Amino acid sequence: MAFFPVPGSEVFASKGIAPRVDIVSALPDELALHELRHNAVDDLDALTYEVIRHRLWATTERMGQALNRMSGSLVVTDCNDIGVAITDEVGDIVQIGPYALTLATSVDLAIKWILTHRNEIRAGDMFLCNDPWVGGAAHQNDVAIIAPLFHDGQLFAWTAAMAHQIDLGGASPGSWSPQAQDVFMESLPTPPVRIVRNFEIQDDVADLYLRRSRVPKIVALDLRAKIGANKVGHERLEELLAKYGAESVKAAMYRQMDDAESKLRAKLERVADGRWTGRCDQEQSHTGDRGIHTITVTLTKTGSDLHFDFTGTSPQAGMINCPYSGLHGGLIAGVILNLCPDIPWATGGLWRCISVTSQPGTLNNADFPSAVGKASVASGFSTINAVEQCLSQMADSSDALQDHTYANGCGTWDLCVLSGLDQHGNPFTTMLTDAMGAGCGAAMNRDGVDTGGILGMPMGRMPDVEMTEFSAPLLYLWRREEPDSGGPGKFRGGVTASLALVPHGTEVPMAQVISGAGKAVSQNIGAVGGYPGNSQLDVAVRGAEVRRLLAAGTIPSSIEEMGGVQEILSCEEEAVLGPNDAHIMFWQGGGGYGDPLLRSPDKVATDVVEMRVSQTSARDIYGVVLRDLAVDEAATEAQRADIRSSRHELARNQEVN
Amino acid sequence: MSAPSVRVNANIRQRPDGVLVCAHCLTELPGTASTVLAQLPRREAAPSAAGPHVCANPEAYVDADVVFRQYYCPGCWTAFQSEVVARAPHGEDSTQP
Repeated sequence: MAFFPVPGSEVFASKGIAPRVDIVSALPDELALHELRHNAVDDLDALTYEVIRHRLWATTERMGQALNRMSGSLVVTDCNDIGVAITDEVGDIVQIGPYALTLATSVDLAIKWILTHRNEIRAGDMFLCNDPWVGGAAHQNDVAIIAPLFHDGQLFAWTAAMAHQIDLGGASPGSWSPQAQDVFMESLPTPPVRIVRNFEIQDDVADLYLRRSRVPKIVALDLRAKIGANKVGHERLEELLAKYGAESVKAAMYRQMDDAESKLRAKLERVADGRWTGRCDQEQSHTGDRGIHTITVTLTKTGSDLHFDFTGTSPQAGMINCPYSGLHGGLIAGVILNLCPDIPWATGGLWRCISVTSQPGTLNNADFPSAVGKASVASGFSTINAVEQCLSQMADSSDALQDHTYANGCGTWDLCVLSGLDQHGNPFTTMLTDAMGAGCGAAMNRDGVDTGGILGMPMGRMPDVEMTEFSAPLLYLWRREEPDSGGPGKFRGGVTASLALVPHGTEVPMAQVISGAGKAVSQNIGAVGGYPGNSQLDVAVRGAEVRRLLAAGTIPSSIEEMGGVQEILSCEEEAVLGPNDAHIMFWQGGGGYGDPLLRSPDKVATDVVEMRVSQTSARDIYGVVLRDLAVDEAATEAQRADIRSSRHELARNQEVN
Repeated sequence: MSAPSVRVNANIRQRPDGVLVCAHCLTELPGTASTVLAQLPRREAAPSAAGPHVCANPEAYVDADVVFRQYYCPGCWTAFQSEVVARAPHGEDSTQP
C-alpha cells in the first residue's frame, strides 16, 4: 500500500539522537540546565560513585515497584510489562530499569523531542506520550509519563515510567487491529502533552486521553500509577541530591555513561573487525496477507565502533511496522542483552559506540501514517532478533567473547485479546499474558531457560492462571510445558508452553484478536547448527465437547479429546470465541546451539525423563537410543553414524538432482 | 596434526596457511570465511524434517515454499547451520554465515 505524506506530520518524526549541542542551542533562555563544573567527573571519588550509581539502579527498581503496586491491570501487576528510566538533563539515558527494556530504550528520543518542541518546561510538569514516531515506546499501547526534575531552579534530570495499556481504542479490542492499513484505523497516537502541571493532574487532558479506551478505569489507574512512579523516582533522587550534592550526583550520572561507553569499547577491542548479517522474517502483515516480510541487518565492526545497516529490509506493510523509535529501542536492547550483562545499562554512553543506516518507508523505519499498533513485538522484536544474530556471530568469531554466543529465543508475542461480557453481565477486555513464559535461546555453554521469559524483559513474569480466571470469564484446561518445543542442539533451546481455555460463566460470544508470527517460518533461530525452536500455533476448536467432558469428570488434555472442529488461526485475524468453543495457544521456545548430534547422550536421557524431549526426537534428531530410559551406548553410536550417513546421502542426492 | 590456530566460529577454524577446516574433524573446507557456507553440502527437506515441533503445513499461512535446510561439513557431516526458511536461490536466504 502506498502512503501519502501527511503535511505537518513530519514534525513528530524522531530520527536518531540529536547531538547535545543541538538540543542545548534550541532551548529557550528561561530554561536553565544544571551545568557541571569542568573536571567534576574526574574529581568524583570511586566510593561515592559506586554508592550513587547503585542508588540510581535501586531507584529504577523502586519506580517499577511503585507502578506495579498502584496498577490494577494484570499486564502490569502480574507480568511487569513496564519500563522505567532515569536520564540526564538533555535526555541521555543514565539508567534503565530491569523491566521491559524496549519500553524504556527510546524514551531518550521523546525527551529530546519535548526539549525542542515544548515551551515553559517547569517543575511539577509531567508529559504523557504514546506517539511512536516521537519515541517513548514503539506502539500506542505503551504510554509514557515523562517528568523533568528541577534542582535549585535548574533542569537537573528526567524520570520516565511506561506501561502497556490493555486498550486505548481503535478499531479492535486491545487497540491492535489485524486489518489496519494505516494508523487511522488504530489507537490515536498522542505526542507529548502536559498531563500534570504544577504537580496537579490536568483533568481535561486526562479526559482526552482516557475517553478513547474501552477500559478507562483501568487505564486511569495506570495513569496515576505512572505518575506515582515518577514521584517515587523524584523523591529518591532528591534524597541523593540532599545527601551528596548536585555536582556529585550529576558527576556520577555522567561517569556511568562514560563507563558504559568505555567498557563496551574495551569489550569490542577484543574482537577482530568483521561483518556479520542477521535477519528476521514475519509472515502475514495483516489479515489476508500471505507474504513474508523481512528485517535484515549487516553489522560492521571497526575497532570499537559498531555500524548497523538495515539496507535490504522489506518495505513497510500492513500492521507489523514500527517507526524509527522501534529500531532505535530494539537495536540498543539487543546490544544490552548480548554485550552488557556486566556493563551499566546507560544507553546514553552505549550509543556513542553505535551508528545506524536505515531507509525510511521500511518495516522498522515506517513512515507516518503506516499502521504500527503491533510495532513493539512485531518489527521491534524482529529488530532485536536480527541484531542479536549479528552480535552472536561476532562473539562466535572470537575466543575472547565466544560465551556471548546465543541462539534466538522466542521471537515475538503470541497475542490473544478477548472482549465481551463477563458472568455478571459487565463488559471486559483482557489480553492473555501467559506467553510471558516463553523459552529462551541456548548459549554456547548452556541450555536455554525453560519457560524463562520473553526477549528483553528481565523481570517479565507469567501470571497465575487463577488471576486470569479471576479477572475474566475463562476456565483453563491446561497450561503446561511442551516436550520438543526447545530447538534441538548441543545445548537445547528452552522449552515453551501451551494453554487451552474455554469461556466460563457467560453465554455471550467473545470478540477475539489473534496476532503472532513464527507460524510458518522460524523466528527462534538456532545458532552454530542448532535447530530452531517450535512453530507458534493458535487453534480454535469449534463446538468442543468440553462441558460434557467436565460434567463427566474428565478434564481434556489434548485437542483431539475435545471433539469439535479444529480451526487453525492465521497470524493476524479477528475471530469470535463462542460459548462452546475452546482456544489453544502454543507460543515459541528458544533456538538450539550446535548440532544436536553433539549433545551429551546423558543430557538427552535426562531431557526425556523430564519430558522436555520425546523419545522419538531423542532417537531421530539427537541420535540417542534409550532402553528403559537409560542410554544404550552402542545403539546410540550406531544411530548417530546412521544420521551422519543419511545426511551425506541426502545432500549428495540433492546435488545430483 | 596440530590444531588450527585461528577461530572463524565454533564450527570452522583457519589454518596458518589460510585454508579453512572443520573444527570437529579438520576436513578442509572450500572458500573464505565469508563464502564458505554457500559452498558446503546442503540438504533441503520438508519443514517436518526439522522435528515434530516445526509446523508441517506452512502453506496454511504463506504462499512461499518453506523448507528445512541444513549445511554440513563434507567430512564428518556435522550440521553447521539448520534453518526453516522460505526457499530462495542457494545461499541468498541463509540466516547465518
